[in-house]
Amino acid sequence: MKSVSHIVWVETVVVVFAALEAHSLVTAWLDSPYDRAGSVAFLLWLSPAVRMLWRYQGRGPTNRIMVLTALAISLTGGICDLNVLKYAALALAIAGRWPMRGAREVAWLALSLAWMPVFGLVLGAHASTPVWVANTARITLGLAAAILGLYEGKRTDLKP
Amino acid sequence: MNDLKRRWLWLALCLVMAISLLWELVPRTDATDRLNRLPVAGFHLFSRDIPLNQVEADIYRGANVRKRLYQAGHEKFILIAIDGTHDRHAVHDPKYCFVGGGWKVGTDRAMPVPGGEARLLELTKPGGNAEIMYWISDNRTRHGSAVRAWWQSTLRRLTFGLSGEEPVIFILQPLPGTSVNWENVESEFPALFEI
Repeated sequence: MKSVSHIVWVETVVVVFAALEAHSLVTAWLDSPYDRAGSVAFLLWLSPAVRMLWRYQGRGPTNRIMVLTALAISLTGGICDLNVLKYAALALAIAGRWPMRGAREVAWLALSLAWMPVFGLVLGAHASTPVWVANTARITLGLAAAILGLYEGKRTDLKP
Repeated sequence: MNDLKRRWLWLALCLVMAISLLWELVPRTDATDRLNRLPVAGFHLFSRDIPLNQVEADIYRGANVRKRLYQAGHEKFILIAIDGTHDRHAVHDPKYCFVGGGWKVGTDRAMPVPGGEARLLELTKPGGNAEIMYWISDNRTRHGSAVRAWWQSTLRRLTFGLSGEEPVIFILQPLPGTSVNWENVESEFPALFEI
């Protein structure tokens, strides 16, 4: 068994920092009708990451470039007070806990849009989409992210 | 990742956290003075403050907001003015809120006002129609673009306020069941376009 020192603390702290910076997500999910299903989409999107965390027991390889990018974007989002950057930084920080191995992981990361308020803003303000359509789309995309991330097929490269 | 790289990552994290914390401590000049210049009464002008409803209070939690019922000449409307200096996300495209509130947006057209243009939105809902007027002002120019307002606000933060004043959104809506001739608002209430 690997020692406790191999737990990737710095990457974990980056995720916590990015999550704190993106705390207004919760307000958006609670207050905005367009974002109400965002929390469900987030949990669905997060499920592959939780499984990886469980599998690696907090250790494992990480994607340093992605973690550094998350930090840079989070800082820019904080300085400019642009929530969309703070949310993107959170997605990158979570995704950076593991190496990106292919198109499937990239697609999973892109589907993080499903839980971001910008998704509702674009559908609501620019396309006048009904609220229920926007929320159904969120859950569908979240589900797609979960399936993409959880389905391994015959892959063996994900084993710790 | 080896130990050296991990140390650099720790250093980057500490730097980002320190800069983020210090940035929050930088004081920002808000638009309170401008909102306080909204006249309460005048020649053919009457008003009274209206409390925010629960939904508005939740949405505008950190923002500086005035909600007032005005009678300017023959035109009677509710004005909501929002300064998003301390919660810039309170200043967003009103269509987002109206569509979220069950309204359908019909026509969306520009109307010239001093310093630029305002937007007129036709809204429909089972049981009623309404037309609202809104614009975003930095006390120099007026426009109806939330994206432009975000850029103005971002630039203002990056230049510590040197790029201009904070964009404030003004939303004018008629009382339920009534209509307003928006063309008359400028002549009946010119002070509204000097803020």
